[in-house]
Amino acid sequence: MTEITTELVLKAQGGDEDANRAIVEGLHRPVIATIFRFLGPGYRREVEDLAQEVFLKVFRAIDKFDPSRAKFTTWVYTFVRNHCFDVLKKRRLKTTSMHAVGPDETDRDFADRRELQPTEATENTELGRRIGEALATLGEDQRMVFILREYESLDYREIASITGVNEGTVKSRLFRAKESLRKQLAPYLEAGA
Amino acid sequence: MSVHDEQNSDGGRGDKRRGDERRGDERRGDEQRSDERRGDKRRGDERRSDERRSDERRGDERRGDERRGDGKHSQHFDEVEAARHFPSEEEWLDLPAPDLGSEPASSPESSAEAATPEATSFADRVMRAREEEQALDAQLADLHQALPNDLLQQFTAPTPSKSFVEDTVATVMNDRRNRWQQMLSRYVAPEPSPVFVSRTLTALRRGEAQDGAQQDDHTQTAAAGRQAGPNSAPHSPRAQLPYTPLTGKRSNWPVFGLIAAAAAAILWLQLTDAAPAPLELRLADQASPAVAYGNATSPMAAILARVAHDEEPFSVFDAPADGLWLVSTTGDLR
Repeated sequence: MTEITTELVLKAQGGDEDANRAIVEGLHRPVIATIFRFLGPGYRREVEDLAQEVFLKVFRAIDKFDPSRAKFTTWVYTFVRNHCFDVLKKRRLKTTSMHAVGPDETDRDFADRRELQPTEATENTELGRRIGEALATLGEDQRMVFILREYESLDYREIASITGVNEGTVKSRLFRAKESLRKQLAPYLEAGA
Repeated sequence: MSVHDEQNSDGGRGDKRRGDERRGDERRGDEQRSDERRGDKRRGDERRSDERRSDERRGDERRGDERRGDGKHSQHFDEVEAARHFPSEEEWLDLPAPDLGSEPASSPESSAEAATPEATSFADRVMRAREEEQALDAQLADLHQALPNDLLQQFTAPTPSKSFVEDTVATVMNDRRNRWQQMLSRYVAPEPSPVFVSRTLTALRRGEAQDGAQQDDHTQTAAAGRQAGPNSAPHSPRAQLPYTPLTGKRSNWPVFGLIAAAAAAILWLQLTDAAPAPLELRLADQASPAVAYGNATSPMAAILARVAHDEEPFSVFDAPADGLWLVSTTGDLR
């Protein structure tokens, strides 16, 4: 991944096209991966469009970024997180009337049901698909924390900054997410052991 | 090694050490653990709000003392002054405990010597919160071993298309260009077209030439003048249309006349009815109620009039509607 230096960001703020290209080149893989893992394989066709929308928002607001206050990658991840939540909110508004709310489903995103349906062939193995399905059953907050921690290797402080909660809450959500995944993937874990 | 990998390895070693220390004696149930965590989180929030309140109260007391002692009520809050009054490192250990309302406030002499109940409970809360955090770190470390990274990486993300970067950069640059153009367009006036300029100048010149002249043949004169003008546009579609140049003052009398006629027509329609009322109704409206029953075709009118007079001998019969049915020959008025 291309390192995003402060000089690069300052050039991008001035509208330098090469600096913009370097930023997109350096961040497009983690952005696409995070969006895909958060929204699920059901959004496979739209993930690049969504990633492009994220970059558009980033560059529209790049003049407001202050390098002394935060890391640029952390700042970009905030846009990723917010955009994913906006997508889910819009989908939920369209599908709310179609799905009944069960007593145990308060923490679940109904739009994620599409990920539980059979999808087209992907690059994932059976275990990979099962992990994706298990992720889809998590609440949005837990899922985002889990992805940022386990797949993007961000530390608790960065995740707290992105999600707007304190580090204790981040750890608590991560614990609940891992606990839930461990139970759902127990057969695969035992088979692997 | 990236910054993130360094941070993870350091956190992993710390977690492993803490896990080794705690694992033997801290195997509690999941529900009990989560309940305690929730309670302590609540207590932690209360602790933080209490500390904030005591800080604010201390600041208020300090400012109040300044105001009362010096009498400078209009003195603005000075950050330098406030910093100067912050206790030194030697003093802050001997500061008295703040008054937290219901809890008993300790005296300056005893706070440094003995642990008050509030201090004990506060210390207990802090230590419990710290232990909970360490326990959570240990549990996360356990789960990290149960869900190793190589297993989670089996859920792979799709490879971005080769043109994604170029497409995105092109979209970003176009968007930036469009936004700048939109911003600038608010402050830049559009240039008039050459056709508009020539037409306007020609009309002005023509207006000056024909000012005060008679308007006998406006169409021919205007067309000849337009075609012969040096700046005219012979191929303009508007040049083919006949038009009357507007020279001199226009008379407003026809307009006023139309307006007056319309007002008169509206007034006449309002005042006159569309269809005349039935004869009986017209007679009933005009006839005096007192003699209405005299025109009735049955003796019933006289009977009713007598009954009304007996009931109210001194009343004045002035309701014309009472006589309507008396006048009517058919019983209903159309």
